[in-house]
Amino acid sequence: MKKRTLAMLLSGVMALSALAGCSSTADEGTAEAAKTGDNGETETTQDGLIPVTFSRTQDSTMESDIFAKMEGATYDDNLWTDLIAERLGYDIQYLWIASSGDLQTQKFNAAVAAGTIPDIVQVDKTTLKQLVEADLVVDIKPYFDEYASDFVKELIGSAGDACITAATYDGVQYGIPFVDCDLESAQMIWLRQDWMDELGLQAPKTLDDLKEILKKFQEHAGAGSIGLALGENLYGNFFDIKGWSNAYGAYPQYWVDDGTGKLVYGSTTPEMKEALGGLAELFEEGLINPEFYVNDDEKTKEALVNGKCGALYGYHATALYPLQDVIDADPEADFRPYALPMLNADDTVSPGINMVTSSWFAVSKNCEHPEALIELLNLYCEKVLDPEKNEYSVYANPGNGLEGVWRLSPVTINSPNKNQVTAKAIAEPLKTGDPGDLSGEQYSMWEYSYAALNGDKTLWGWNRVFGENGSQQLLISYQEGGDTNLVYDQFTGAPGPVMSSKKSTLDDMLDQTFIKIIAGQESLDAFDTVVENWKSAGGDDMTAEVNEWYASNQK
Amino acid sequence: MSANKKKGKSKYTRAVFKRELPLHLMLVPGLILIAVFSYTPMAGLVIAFQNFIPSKGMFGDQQWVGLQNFSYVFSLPGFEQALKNTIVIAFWKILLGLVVPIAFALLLNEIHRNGFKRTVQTIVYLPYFLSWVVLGGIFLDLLSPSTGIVNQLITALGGKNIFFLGDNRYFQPTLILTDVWKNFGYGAIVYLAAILTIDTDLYEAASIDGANRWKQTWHVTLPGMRMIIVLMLVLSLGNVLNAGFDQVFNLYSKAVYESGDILDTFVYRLGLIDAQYGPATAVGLFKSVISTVFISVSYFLAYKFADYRIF
Repeated sequence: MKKRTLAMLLSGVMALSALAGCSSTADEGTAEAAKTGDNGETETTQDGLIPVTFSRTQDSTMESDIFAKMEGATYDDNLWTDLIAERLGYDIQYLWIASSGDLQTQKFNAAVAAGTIPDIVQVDKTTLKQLVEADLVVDIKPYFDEYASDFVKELIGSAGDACITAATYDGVQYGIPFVDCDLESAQMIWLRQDWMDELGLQAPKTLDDLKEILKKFQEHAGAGSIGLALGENLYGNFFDIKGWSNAYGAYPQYWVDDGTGKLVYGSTTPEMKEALGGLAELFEEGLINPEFYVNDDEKTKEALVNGKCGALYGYHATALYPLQDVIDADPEADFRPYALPMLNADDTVSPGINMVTSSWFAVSKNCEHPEALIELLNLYCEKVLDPEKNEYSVYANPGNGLEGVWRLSPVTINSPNKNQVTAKAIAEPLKTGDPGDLSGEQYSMWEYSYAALNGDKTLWGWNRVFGENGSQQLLISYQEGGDTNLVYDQFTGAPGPVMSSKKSTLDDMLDQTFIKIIAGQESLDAFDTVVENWKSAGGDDMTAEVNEWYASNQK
Repeated sequence: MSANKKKGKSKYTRAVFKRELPLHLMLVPGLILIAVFSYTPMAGLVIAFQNFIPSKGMFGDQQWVGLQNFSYVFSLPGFEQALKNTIVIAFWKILLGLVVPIAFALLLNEIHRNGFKRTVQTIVYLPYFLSWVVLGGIFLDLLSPSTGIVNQLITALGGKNIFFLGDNRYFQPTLILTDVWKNFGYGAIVYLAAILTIDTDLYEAASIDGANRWKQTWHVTLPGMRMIIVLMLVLSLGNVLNAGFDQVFNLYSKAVYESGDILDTFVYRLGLIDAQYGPATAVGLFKSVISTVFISVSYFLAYKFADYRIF
């Protein structure tokens, strides 16, 4: 008996130590990374390089995609770090490489608390605000102006002012935006093109035109069909009410200038009331699924997939999801995006767009060479993005199974309008069928779209984004067409105390009533009541807070 | 009790200790579990009194704000409604969750064909094992006003479509009934087991005294089940502020917040969506305090009227 217990105990201990063995080997990786960080306290390394510190999150795909295929490559010793050492004289060091996103946040927060953040960081808007308030980051503007290459200046400039304003506090710019495409947040209406052709319908110019189309569609699709697909998320990327509201000049959840230099919440304007009235009419006429407000995206999609619905509002990538699923189920189906129909025929098309940039680079006050960030961005753009100088097949995607090498660079950036550029670049090659000298992502998009044009329906969505009559072409016409007025969400700052504690409760309050108004459970006048309640429950405070930010940023 | 204790103490020899040691050791895993998952996290309750900023760390230099989180939460639009809904929904769930399984167990007990009895028992027990994530999807389909089978039945019988999950008049009853349907099989098994422990001689004696089936149930079966009924009631009263997060979360939508939003879903949105940890913890603490009061009172009542005690 005793012997057996002992044996069990021992085997238990062995099992535990085996486990411990595993975890300690895993720990060694981070320990080592931390050690190099510690050594980095010295002014320069033995090679005479200037150390610059970063942090990053481990990316499991890098192990398999890159390190396994590039001999000897690690996070802090690879072709990018070699390039940076040679060209700029910096030694890239990671203070830590976190094994997960959560851990990265934790370590980063601890570093903020201790005031020991890495030299160069990439953070969201709220964290940037914290860093500014804790006085941990430098005014980056002078360095940007002095060091940034023309290419980088143009790239960041093309994203508009919103993402710069968002990183500016009291007139000082602390962050360089990791720019993203604001234009792509614009809505459009997606219509079932094969039905349009069959019924001989024209592109809708007004909401009345749209309503006519919805009715014809409903007749065509037969019993149990739905006119316009709406889902429970009123402000999602698709199945939403944003596009419809824009037609009335209403911009729900956006902060818009009321004409007197003050911002108002778009969900509470008189235009919003009209938009809801219009939706309530659609609902009453049976053009909206009576159950829309309990249906999530998957559920809402069913009507489209079953051929019971042929119209939805959506953003540029709606073709890839959910519409690709419709085409997979019924290859004969076809959808096309159209510009937002407006209330009156002579109204300017006015889609709302908001700042989608979600992270910024900032430089620690302890960094001795803040220009390093700008130089690294210059180098990245030169090697990966610049069409004239790039060495894409060396530093970005070498091919032959080796993909995503660009991720080894400690800072990366995207061209915000790259999708529009791609759409323009592949327009001609799609007609001729000759990719010419397209490379990288542009070539891939051409390849997908061309295959879709030649009958591969599983790639239909790509062609509807990048091809002729696709969503990117429509966005280009939004931007360059001249007769379109893009309406920006004017609030781009980090949420203040009132907004971060109350906004979602306040939004819930409005949404409950909005849904009831649309579904005919309450009269349209309930709008005025709920807006009054919204104001007294904190909406007024939030508006004041937003306007304070607005006033301080207008200078 | 105290006399007993004294007596026990005097007799508590090394031999007794050695004999009972394995029994005590068996308690250890349970105690560790409770210590780790129930008692240790209680340290986090301090968050309820702080302006909690996660980056400063769990026990870092947080700002103390007294009862500000509580007054903030109580003043939020929607809190009162959530509290009211919670109490109403929980009350009906507790009541029906007690009555339905007892009635069902009594009825099932009257069936003497064992095979049939077991089959029924198994079938009604099955939904207990399904997660609300699964059932949520199923009910959304079953109860849909346009395509759901329930509404097709109603219209076939000449009734009007009912939007069970989207209409504030029907949402609460739908929650309560589906919950009772899911769980009554479990309760029924407990009560059936209690019925089996009743001495069959009692029934014999009752029938000799001229008691019919109904009288036997009333005077023998139910009193025989008294202890277990009281136990189940005491245990369930602690849930008076738990109206069932899983269920509500998977079935509700903004349109039925008015009748269906409960404290747990409210806290979920506050704490996990909005990252307002202080106020969310305050609601959690508030719930715990109320539940403790309810459990204590019901335990006291159970002792007083049913002579039931655990300690």
